[in-house]
Amino acid sequence: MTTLDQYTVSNTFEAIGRTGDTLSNAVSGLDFYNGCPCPTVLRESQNLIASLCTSHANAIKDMEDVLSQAKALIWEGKAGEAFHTDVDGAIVIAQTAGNGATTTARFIESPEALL
Amino acid sequence: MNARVESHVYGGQGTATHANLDQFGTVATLLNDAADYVARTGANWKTINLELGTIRAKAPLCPKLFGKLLTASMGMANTSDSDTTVHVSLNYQLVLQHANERAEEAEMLMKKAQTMAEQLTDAYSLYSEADETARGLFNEKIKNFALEHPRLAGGGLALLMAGSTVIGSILDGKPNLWYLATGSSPLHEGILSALGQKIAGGKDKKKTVRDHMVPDDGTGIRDHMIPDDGTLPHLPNSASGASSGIINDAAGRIADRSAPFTNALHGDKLTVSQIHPKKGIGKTTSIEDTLVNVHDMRLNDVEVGSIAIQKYRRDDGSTAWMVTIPGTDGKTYSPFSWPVNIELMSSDEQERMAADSARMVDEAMRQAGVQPGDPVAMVGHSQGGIVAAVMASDFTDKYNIQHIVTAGSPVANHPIKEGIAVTSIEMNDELVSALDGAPNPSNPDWLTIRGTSQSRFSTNGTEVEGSGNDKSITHGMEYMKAAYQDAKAEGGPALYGHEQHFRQVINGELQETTYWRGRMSYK
Repeated sequence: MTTLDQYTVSNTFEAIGRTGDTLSNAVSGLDFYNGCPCPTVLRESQNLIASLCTSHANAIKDMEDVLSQAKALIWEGKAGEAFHTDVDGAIVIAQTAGNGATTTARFIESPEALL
Repeated sequence: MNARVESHVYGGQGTATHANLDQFGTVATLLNDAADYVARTGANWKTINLELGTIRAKAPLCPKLFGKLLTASMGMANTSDSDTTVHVSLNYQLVLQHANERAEEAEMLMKKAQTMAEQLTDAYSLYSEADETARGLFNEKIKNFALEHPRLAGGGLALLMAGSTVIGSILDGKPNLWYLATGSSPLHEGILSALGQKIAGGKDKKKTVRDHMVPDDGTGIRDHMIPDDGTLPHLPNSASGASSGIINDAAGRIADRSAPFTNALHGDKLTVSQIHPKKGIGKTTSIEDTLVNVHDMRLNDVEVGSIAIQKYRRDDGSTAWMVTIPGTDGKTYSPFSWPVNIELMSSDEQERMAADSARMVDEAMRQAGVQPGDPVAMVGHSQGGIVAAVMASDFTDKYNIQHIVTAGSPVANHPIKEGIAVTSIEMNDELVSALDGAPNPSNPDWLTIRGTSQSRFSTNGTEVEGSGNDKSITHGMEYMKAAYQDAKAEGGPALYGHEQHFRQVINGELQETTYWRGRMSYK
């Protein structure tokens, strides 16, 4: 079974593997007389967060579609009731997560996100 | 501390059609896939600081991004740029706070979805067909090995039995021979099947029911068995109605010789008469009730060799019947004596029908007034379950048997007529239900609840009431009831479908419960 931690570890290793990119970015950034690249950094960072918000929202939308299929399953008995209670609980979590993605997407484009 | 039992359900898709069975599997897979997608995005949120760091490195001298201290130390503080340019930066602290919140939501949702997928997989026994196929193949391998290397197989069995007994006894703190059957339980059906083949005369003479049940496409699901209209499908519980396993062929051979001896021992004259026990059984409204009742026949000291017949008046005015049949009582004057089991297990229909206990139930039903068209449900423990299977195989011209419940009965090879629902409860290490040498057929009509004894100190499954501190024989009704309760707690449409079907058969007001005693004599 997949765990979130597995992906976190693999993302971290990927980031370590891109240390060269970080160094190369830093070297090119030393050319200060062409102007400070911080607006580019800001735009790229905002784009990154925005795209993550989009993929987060898509994942949540997928989950909501599956949850609605799960809700439609006919399952009698105590275990069935417990399952449907779990489905209802998951739908609430999915809605919260969906709203969260929207909130972050708005936040990242707002003045509040800037120092 | 009482023993515990955990159950799995095989076959008996009940009210589930092929379409919605597929749906259960599909939803479980989709939930896992969706959980995986959510987990990926959650991990991305968790590691967003690394990505942002790589981007941030593009402006290493920005006083806003890296602070004035850094730029001053590098001699940049007094540049004209630092005085005129407006530097911009994200509020990384707030951004990471958002990222953590999204990651937490994703993790929570992922875990919930994975739990639900597991629930679906467990409850619907989605892989039970594969389990059963694997079990059948394993039995076949054990059987062939035992036939080719009988001494090695015997030695291996003895080793497993001894090891299991030693370990179990150490855990119990005193010798306990009931562990003999526990450790060796996976080999029981294969070894017994080999023994049966040896007695029956070498090669397989007939195809077993199971041989006919294995699908051609290897999917484990037989399309032709499940209609699209959602009704309870009717299909043969055995291949041709006449085929039976090699164990039953062997039983037939033994019965040819033992039946005359049994008759000589306690006579062949059967007398069935009504009795009035002080305390009997309660109303039957569910499969669980039938198990309680068949146990109560013993607990309430209803005379040996007796059965109970309940008459129900249905809403449409028709009459339905519930027949409760206890197991072997071991008394020579009873039709439920030990040797009768062999005749009931025979592959020969006439031999089965002539078995004392089958004749006794037939006669009691006749005397009770069961009419050919009246719906009948039956429950039996051990030999009682075999009798129910014989009635559902060989007495269907006489009675309208619609549902039988067997507990701890080796009935896999009985040619039960198509359309009759069979609910079987078995324990993995009870030995008795393995005497048929094969797993029960797994199809919508036939549902098997297979309980597994849990290791000592386990908290899994359902407690076996009254089982006490020591390991005991798991063939008892206490274990059968616990196995059923455990499966019922899990839910699932297969069990629900069989419960519904059972209720539809009885579905009425209890009119009376009569008790019938059989006695064997010479004349």
